[in-house]
Amino acid sequence: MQTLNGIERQLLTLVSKRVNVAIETAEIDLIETGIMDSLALVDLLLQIENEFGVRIPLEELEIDDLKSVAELARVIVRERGK
Amino acid sequence: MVVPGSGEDGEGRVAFPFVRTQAESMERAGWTVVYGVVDDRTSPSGVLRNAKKLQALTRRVQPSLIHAQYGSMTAALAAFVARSLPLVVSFCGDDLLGTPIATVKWKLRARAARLLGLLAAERAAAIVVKSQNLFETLPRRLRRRAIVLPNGVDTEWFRPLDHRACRLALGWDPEAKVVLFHPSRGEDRWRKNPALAQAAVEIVRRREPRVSLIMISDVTREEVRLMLNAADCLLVTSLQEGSPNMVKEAMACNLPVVSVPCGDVPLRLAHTRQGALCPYDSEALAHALSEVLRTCERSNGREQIYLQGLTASDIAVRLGEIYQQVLDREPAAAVGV
Repeated sequence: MQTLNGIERQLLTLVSKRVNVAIETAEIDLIETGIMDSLALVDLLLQIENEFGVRIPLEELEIDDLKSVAELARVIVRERGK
Repeated sequence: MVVPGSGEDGEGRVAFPFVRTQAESMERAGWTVVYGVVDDRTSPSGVLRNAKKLQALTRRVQPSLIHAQYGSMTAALAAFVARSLPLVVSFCGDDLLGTPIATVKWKLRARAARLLGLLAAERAAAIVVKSQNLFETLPRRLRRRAIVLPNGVDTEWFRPLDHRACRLALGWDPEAKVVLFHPSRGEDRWRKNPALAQAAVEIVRRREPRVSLIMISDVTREEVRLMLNAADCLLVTSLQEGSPNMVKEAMACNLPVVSVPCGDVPLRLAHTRQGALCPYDSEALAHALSEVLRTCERSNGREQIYLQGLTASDIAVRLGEIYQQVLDREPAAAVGV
């Protein structure tokens, strides 16, 4: 079972690749900083579903749940636990 | 369930006429259509709100399949909510081709939008592209699931009407020679290449001062119909197109079309008399315009629309076959996440 840290590391690589910006920390607010716009957000969610084999439950989420690698990692862990 | 790109009119109906035309003809062919409109594609919070809205709608209506009527964000959101439902994605033009002349920022956004649409199309059971040039821009692995199917024309609405009566209704000079041009807005305006259209008409005007170039812009569907019947020619100078609806609507009204070779226009005009296909050259376009304006004869465009199988009902039959094939292959699973 992949740990939260492992998922964060994998996500940091994925996000950096998708937005063409090196993301240094899992806590950085990707939306507030403008790193991730609407296109990048949906692209990332589709990629997460493909790469991590989870379904992102959009109806249960708020924008704050998607704003950083750390938050996204928590969503993945939660969904894998279901 | 149909997911159009964006836009509702004041009464909550889908504002894109071509989407409405297609949906209405699908309903006449026996399908039930529910719209899931995406009204914000640009802000992350708006996108999340739209995704939730579409998801709730999907749960409520339990469609047999979802058809995204545009690539980019629209296709991505549809892919997200489709889950185990069969997904059909339509690409219309700039969602695959981008915008030819644009700022760097816009170009980057267009590239990202294209990739997002293609990513969504990976989940699609069928892909519809409006013209052959769009088909050829698809990655090879996606072409196997793709079919070229232009939008159909509502031939009951777009039909030949009395030229003089339409001019009167619009308040146009009955003696003027009128060339129509369909511009676009924002960064997309350059795609329509208005400078070439203006240059061509300017050349014609040197010999024939009564020529007017009128823009089909900010008008109702009723006004579009009147304009296509009141004008003498439609001029198309676009740098890129898919299958421009305006050309087919003009043909359905027997309005001659003078065009550069963009999108599927050469195919549409191949056997259409009156009008011409010209290179991207103002002199050549002016010469063709002069010929059309000299005789002011109507074209045989409407007959060609029927012969080419481009009425809305023809296209509805073909789209219905695509839906049925998808459903036979991937029967809708239970709706839900």
